[in-house]
Amino acid sequence: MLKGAGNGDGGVEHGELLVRLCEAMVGRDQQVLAEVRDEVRSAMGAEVLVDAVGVSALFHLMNRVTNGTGTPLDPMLAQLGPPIAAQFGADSYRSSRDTSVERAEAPGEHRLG
Amino acid sequence: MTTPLYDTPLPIRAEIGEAQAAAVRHWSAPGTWWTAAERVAIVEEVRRARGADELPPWTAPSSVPGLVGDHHPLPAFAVDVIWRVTNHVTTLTREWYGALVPAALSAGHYVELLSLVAQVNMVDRFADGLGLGRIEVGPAAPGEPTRTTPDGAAVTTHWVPTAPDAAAGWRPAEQAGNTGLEPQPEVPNVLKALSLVPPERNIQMALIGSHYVPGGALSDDIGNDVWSLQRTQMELIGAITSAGNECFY
Repeated sequence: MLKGAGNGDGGVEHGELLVRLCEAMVGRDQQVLAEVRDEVRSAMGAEVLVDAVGVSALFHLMNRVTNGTGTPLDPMLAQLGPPIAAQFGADSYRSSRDTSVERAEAPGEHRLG
Repeated sequence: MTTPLYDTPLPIRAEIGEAQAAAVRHWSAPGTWWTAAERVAIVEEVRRARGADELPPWTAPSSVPGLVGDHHPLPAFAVDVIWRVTNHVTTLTREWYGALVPAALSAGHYVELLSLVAQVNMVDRFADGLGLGRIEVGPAAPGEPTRTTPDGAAVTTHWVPTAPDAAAGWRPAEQAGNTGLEPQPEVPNVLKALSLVPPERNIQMALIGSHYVPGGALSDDIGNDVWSLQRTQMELIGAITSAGNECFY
């Protein structure tokens, strides 16, 4: 359920806590991760903890696939992308240089086999 | 509820357990380009990279004396890719890819390697995130790589070649055999990325359907709940994780 904008949750229920969980999963500090894991479990329940960790873990896969294959933005994302990217500071990511709007080269170009 | 994969009272959904079990079986099976023994070595190397003191991204582990043994089952440049993708996902560039493929690795070898590294990172971070022991990879299964390339695979939209049939539906419930699907041109580009090596794409889709949005409902109403999460919570988690990995897509 969306909440009013302007609070530390970013308008998402328990948003601030989920952000800390994701940041801990990106990092390497096991103590920080254990602490925020306990907080999520206490505040949101064990099922939410499992599903939240599952979604973040899945994005660790997706991020590696997209950054490692030069996956271009889909047209819909390209329309939404610029203002959102600016808010996140994502324009400074190395991957932003190589994440073009979807394009297609001439059929058969670089064809395998 | 517990799953055979994890010894825990945490309520890990059956969908998650089944998809991760399929992934782990897949890791130790012969691949399309890498042998089963090489794939097991890839899994082990991801774990070694993740547990090691971090090297700067410009330092290849194979260049550090004593870090990669002379009798390592993988080529040195594959070890370097594994460490880079595992520990420095923010630094993958077209120039980096272009220096590897095709000079050191075929595109097929690269896509399969990238996929495996990404899967292991995912499954291990799931275990780490919940404070559970990581799943052990099984012994290498017998058999040989298929060494097959989908018809019509070409570089079109991504750095890597993709297959035209990647535009077919990606819904996990409909992917049996990866054939007979109606074309869905709106399939997101991320789901085309591994199509050069179809078994890798199939596992990717199974993991997406079980951990994120089931049944291909990526563009569903943002107000819908998914599993125990609100969709807005799910998208926040995806956005923050992607920001941490500096993924522009």
